[in-house]
Amino acid sequence: MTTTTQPVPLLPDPVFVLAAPRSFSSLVNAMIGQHPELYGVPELNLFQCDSVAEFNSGLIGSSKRKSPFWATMRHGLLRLIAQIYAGEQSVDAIRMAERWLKTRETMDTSEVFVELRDRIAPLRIVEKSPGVIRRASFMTKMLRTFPNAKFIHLVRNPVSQCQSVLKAKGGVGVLMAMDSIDHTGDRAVLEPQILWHDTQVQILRFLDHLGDDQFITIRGEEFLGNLDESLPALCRWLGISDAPEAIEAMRHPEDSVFSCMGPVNAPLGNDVNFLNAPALRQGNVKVPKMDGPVPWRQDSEPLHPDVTALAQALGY
Amino acid sequence: MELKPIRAKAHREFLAPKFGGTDAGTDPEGLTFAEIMANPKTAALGIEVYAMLREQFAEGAAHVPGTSEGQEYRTRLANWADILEVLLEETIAEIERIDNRLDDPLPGLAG
Repeated sequence: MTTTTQPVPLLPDPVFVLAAPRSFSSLVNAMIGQHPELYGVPELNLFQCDSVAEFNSGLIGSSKRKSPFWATMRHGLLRLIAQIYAGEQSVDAIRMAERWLKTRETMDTSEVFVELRDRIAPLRIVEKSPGVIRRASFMTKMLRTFPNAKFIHLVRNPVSQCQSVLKAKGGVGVLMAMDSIDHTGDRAVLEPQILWHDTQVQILRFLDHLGDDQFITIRGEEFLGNLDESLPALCRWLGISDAPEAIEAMRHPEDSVFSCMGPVNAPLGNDVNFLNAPALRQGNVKVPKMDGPVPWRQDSEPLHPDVTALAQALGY
Repeated sequence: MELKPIRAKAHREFLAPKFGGTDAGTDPEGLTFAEIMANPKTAALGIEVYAMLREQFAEGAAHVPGTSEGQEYRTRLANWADILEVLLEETIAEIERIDNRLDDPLPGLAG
């Protein structure tokens, strides 16, 4: 008797967006995720944890807290599980998602991501979790889990990104926690360009592990300002259809089931500013000049030369 | 439009140390609340930042949508808690009844 082995179908590894905070990543992730061959998900924050138990408790070891905001950082994954297993994001579906996670507490978080990937296939996951950039080991885990994943390095002009972080709700808290602080004067002051610069460096160091065909760099202003060209170009790079109906779907990030506030027991899962206004706005995104004094410093200093040089290397 | 990878190979050093921050190795270092408050310079900034955050989140709290949804959900949870409490009591009582029967399988024949 002869046996025939069926070829194991190759399931599509995700597309990951890597970006500093306030760099259009929520909008771009949701837009790409609306392509009919892709599936945009909320911020899952899975690779920042070793086990599902760590994800559920927000504790490293027995007592060290991961982040004061960890409870809300679970919302994205809860909403995704609720949506794909219960078909809705209601309070009951979120409770089901909590039980789904509880039964997997001994699993590694990468196994859970693979399980979700398999469930969503043949669609391909598009995901971004800004927290993953904080540690090289988190990004390495992402690549180890999905060695064929594609990565999009999304960047924004440093001046406008810094202004946006300072203006955004909670932004000053992020700067403080990330030590984006100028300690050199008599007084310590927030200095957002440190966060911009060091996030890019952290991403670039990770991208050194990838081949040229596995990632691209996108300047957000250019991408959003020329969608007629940028969206088809992105589709071609990803090897997916660039048919007009697919491109049209990508112009509507607000159509995603995750582009809104969630139920009361998991309302977030993304930047709250995006969840409240997810539609694409018409008109070009302004790119401020990088010479001259930066608006947030009282000493009229310009951008640090390292920041200017890196921005120029990234195409600004 | 051509999409291509940019490696910017000349840029692999962190900027934070040039602003007096920690000389990070593999990863940029963050600050904990305790570390911020332990240093008088950062503590002064920390107090300013926490005041700003309190203001930002207080504004948001006054406009939180779905408060009635939250209240409705709380009521449901309270009802479930009542039901679960009764079920727990009944379940424990049932286990005790079974245990008693196992200890004395033929009570009618005793004595």
